[in-house]
Amino acid sequence: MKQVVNSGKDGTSKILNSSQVYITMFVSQALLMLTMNTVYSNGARMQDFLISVGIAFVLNILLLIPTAFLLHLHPGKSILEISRELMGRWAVIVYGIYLLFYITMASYYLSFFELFLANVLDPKISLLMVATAVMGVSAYSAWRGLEAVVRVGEIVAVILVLGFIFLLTALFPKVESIEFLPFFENSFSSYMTGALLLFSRSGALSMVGILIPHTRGRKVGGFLLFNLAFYVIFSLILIVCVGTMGGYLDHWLFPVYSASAFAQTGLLQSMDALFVAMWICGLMTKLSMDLSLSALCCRHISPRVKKWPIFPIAAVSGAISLMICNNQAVQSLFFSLQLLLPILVLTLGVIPIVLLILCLHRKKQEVKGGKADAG
Amino acid sequence: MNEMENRMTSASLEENVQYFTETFDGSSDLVIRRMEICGVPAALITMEGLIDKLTIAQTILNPILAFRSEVTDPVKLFDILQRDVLAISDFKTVTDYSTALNLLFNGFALLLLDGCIQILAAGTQGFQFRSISEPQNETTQSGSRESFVEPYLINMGMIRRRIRDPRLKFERLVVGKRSNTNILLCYLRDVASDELVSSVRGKIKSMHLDTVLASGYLAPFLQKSGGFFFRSASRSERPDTVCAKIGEGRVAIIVDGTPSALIVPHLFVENFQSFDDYINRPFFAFFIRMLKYLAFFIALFMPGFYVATTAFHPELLPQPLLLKIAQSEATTPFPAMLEVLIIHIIYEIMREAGLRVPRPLAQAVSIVSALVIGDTAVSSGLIGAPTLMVVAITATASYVTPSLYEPVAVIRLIMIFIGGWMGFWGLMLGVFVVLVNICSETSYGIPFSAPVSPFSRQGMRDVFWRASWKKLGKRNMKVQDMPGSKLKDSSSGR
Repeated sequence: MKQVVNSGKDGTSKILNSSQVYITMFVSQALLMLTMNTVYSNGARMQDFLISVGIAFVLNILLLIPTAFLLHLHPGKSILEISRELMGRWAVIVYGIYLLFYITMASYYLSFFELFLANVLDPKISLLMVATAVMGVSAYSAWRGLEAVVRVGEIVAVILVLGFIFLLTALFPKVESIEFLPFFENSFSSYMTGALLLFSRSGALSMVGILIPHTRGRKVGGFLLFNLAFYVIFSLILIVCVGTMGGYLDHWLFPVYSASAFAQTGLLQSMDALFVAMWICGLMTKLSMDLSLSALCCRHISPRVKKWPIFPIAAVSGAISLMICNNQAVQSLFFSLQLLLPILVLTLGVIPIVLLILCLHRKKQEVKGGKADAG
Repeated sequence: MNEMENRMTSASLEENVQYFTETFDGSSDLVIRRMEICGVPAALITMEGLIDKLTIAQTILNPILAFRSEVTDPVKLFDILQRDVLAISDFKTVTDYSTALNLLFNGFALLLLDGCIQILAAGTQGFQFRSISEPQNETTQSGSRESFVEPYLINMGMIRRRIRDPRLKFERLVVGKRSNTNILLCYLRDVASDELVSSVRGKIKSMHLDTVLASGYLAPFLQKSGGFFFRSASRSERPDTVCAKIGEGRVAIIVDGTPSALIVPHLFVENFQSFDDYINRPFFAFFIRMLKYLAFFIALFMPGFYVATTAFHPELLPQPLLLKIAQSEATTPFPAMLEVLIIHIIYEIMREAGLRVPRPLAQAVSIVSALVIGDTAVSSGLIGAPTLMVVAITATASYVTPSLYEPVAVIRLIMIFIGGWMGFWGLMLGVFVVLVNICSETSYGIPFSAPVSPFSRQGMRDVFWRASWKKLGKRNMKVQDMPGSKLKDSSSGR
C-alpha cells in the first residue's frame, strides 16, 4: 500500500497512501458541511441543499473525468508534471493558475473563519491577529512537509467524524418532522445555485490530479468512497439540522453552529466548543495542504526554490482574507459564484481538457510519424 | 587514549614498565608489582579500585609463586603460564599499548615478562557497586523487581538471562575521548533491521565528546532535537521492558555507569504502554490505557481550557458550575490566566525543590509547600479554590505518563498563556501545533505517530486496546513493519 512519492520537484521522498490523501480531502471538504449557509443561494432553503449536495456530488465526478483520462494516459505523473511534458516552458501558466487557485481557496476559507470569530465568538477580536496566528500555524504545518499534513489529516478526520456523530446524537432527539417542508417548491435554478456553491468551494478535488498519481492504493474506489462518505455525512447533518431548527436556519450565516449551540448535552451547556474545535482542525488541515501544494507549484516554476515560498504565500492569503472581511464588494466576489466557480472550473476542468487535447494531438502525430517512417 | 598512538609493546620489561609509568605520570591508582618467574623478571600491572585483589591472589599470584620450572625462555614461559599455570578463564594476549590500556581500565591485570613482546591480560574485574534493587521510576504490580544497575556487564547479564538466544548480540563500543566509556548495543540479529543497527552504530561512532558519564550524553545524538517537543529515544530501567523492545526489533543502548537503557526507535504511543499492561487482562489494560490518554490530555490542555473558558467562553459551562467559579474568582485579585500561571510556576519550583532537597529536609519542604498552596493561598483570597483544584488535577495527571513530563510541563504553560490571550480558538491552534509536531517526526525512518497515523490495523492491536496474548503471540510485529516505515526489513538476511 505504500509508495515513495515521486515528486522530483518536491525535493523529498515521501511515502503516501491514496487513502491518506482521500482522508485529507474529506477533511478539507468537511469544512463545507460546517460552513454551509443559504447566503448567495438564490433563495434556496437549507433543506434544498439535500438535493443540491447530490447534484454537487455528480458535478464533482464529472469535473474529474478529464483529469482521470489524463492521469490514465500518463501513469505515475501529476498534472504539474504532465503539463511540463506537454507544454514545455509554457507550463508555467498552469503552475501559476494552480498557485492562484490555492491562494484563492485559502483566502476564502480563512476569511469565512475570521467572519465567524468576529460575528459570533468575539466582536472585538483583532482580525489581523487571527489571520497572523492561523496562517502562521498553517505555514509551520506546511513547512513540516506534505507527509506531516496528511498524517495530521488522518487524525483530524477521526476528530471530525466523532464530532459529527456526537453532534448528530445530540441533535437527533430534537428532530421534528414538522420542520421538513415539501421539496421542489422552489425553481430548479435555486437547487442548481446551491449545488454550484458547494461545487465551487470543493478545492480539495485538486489533490486528485496532484497527489494521487504519486500514491499507491485504490485510487478510483477510494475517490468514490470519499465522495460517498462526504455525501452521506453531509446529508445526515442537513437532515438533523433542518429537522431541529427548520426554516429558522435559513436566516443564519452559520447554521450548523447555531444548531450545535442549540444542542444541549450533559455537562456542556452547548456544543459550540465542539463546533469551533472541528472547524479549526479542519481549517488548519485545509490551509496547510493549500500552502504545501502552493509551494509545490513554486518548486515547479523554479526548481531551486525550496520551502520558503510557504511564508509569502501564507502572508498573501492572510492579507486577501482581511480584504474579504473588510470590503463588502470583495466579500461578495469571493462568497458568490463569480470568482470561485470560474477558477475551479478553469483549474480542475479546462486545464486537464487542454492537456488531454495536447496529449491526444501528440499521440496522433507520433502515430503519423511512425507510419511515415514505416513507409 | 584514542589520541595515543597504537604502539606495539616492547620485548623489554623495563621499556614496557616505563611506558606505563610515564603514561600515568605517577598516578597513585596504578599498581606495578615486580617479581621473578623461574628467574625471568616480570611485572603485574593493575588499577587500584577496578580489580578484585582476592581473585588476583588466587588466580595469578598463588599459582605463579607455586610454579617451578626449568624453562627460562620468556616466550615458552609465557605459553606455559597462560596454558597450565594461571587459574583464569578470561584472558587475552595483547601486543599493543592501546589495547593493553583499554583492558587495564576495564579491570584486567597485565602480566609482563622480560623478553616477551606479548602481554597477558587476565580478567580480574572487581569493584564496589550498588546491588540490584527495585525500579524507582517504573514500578509494576506483578512484574520483576529487578532494575538495571551502574556496571554495564551486570546489565548485560540481566538481559541475557531473559533472552537465551544466541542471536541476541551485544556489541561493545567505546565512546568519549577521555572517559573511554563502554557502551553496549543490544539487538536481535534476526529481528532488528540492519539499516537501524548501522544507523545507531554510525551515530554513536560519529560522536565527538570528551566525556560520556551517562546515557543522557548520548541521547541527543540518537534522537531528533531541533523543533521537536517529544523524545524519539525512550529510556527504561527495567530489563524486562528492554527485552520486550529488543524482541520487537529495537536497539537498546546500555551505557556503563547509567542504571537505565536507551531504546530506539521510540514511538509516541509507547509512552502509554507499561509492563503491567501485558500482565493484566486485556479489558483492564484497555481501561488503564484510556485513563493514561485522558490523563495526558488533562495534563496538557486542562489549565489552558479552564483559563479560556473562564475568560472568554463562560457559556460553555453549566450554570451552577459557572456560578461557583465566578463566586470564587470574584474574591481573588488576579485574572484567571495569571492565577493559573502563578500556581503552576510555584508548583514546578516546589517539585524541583522536592527532587533536589537533602532527604532530611524533604518533609519540611513538603509541609511548607502543602500549607502555602494548599491552604494559605486559598484562605487568604489570593487564589481561587477551583483554580487550585484544576492545577492539582493537572499535576497529578502529568505523573500518569512520566516519560512525557518534560514536554507536557512546558507545553502546558504555553497553552495557559494562549488560552488566556486568544481563548478557545487559540487553544485549538495550540492543539494543532502539538498534533503537527507529533505527526511530522520520524524516529529512524518510522513515523513517530505510527500506527495511529499512518494507520495500520495490525499495529493498532497494542495501542488503545491491548490484544490478548493469543493474538499478540501469533505474529510478532517488528518495529520496521510499522506503516510508513522507511526502514528495510533486512534482518532476516543475516
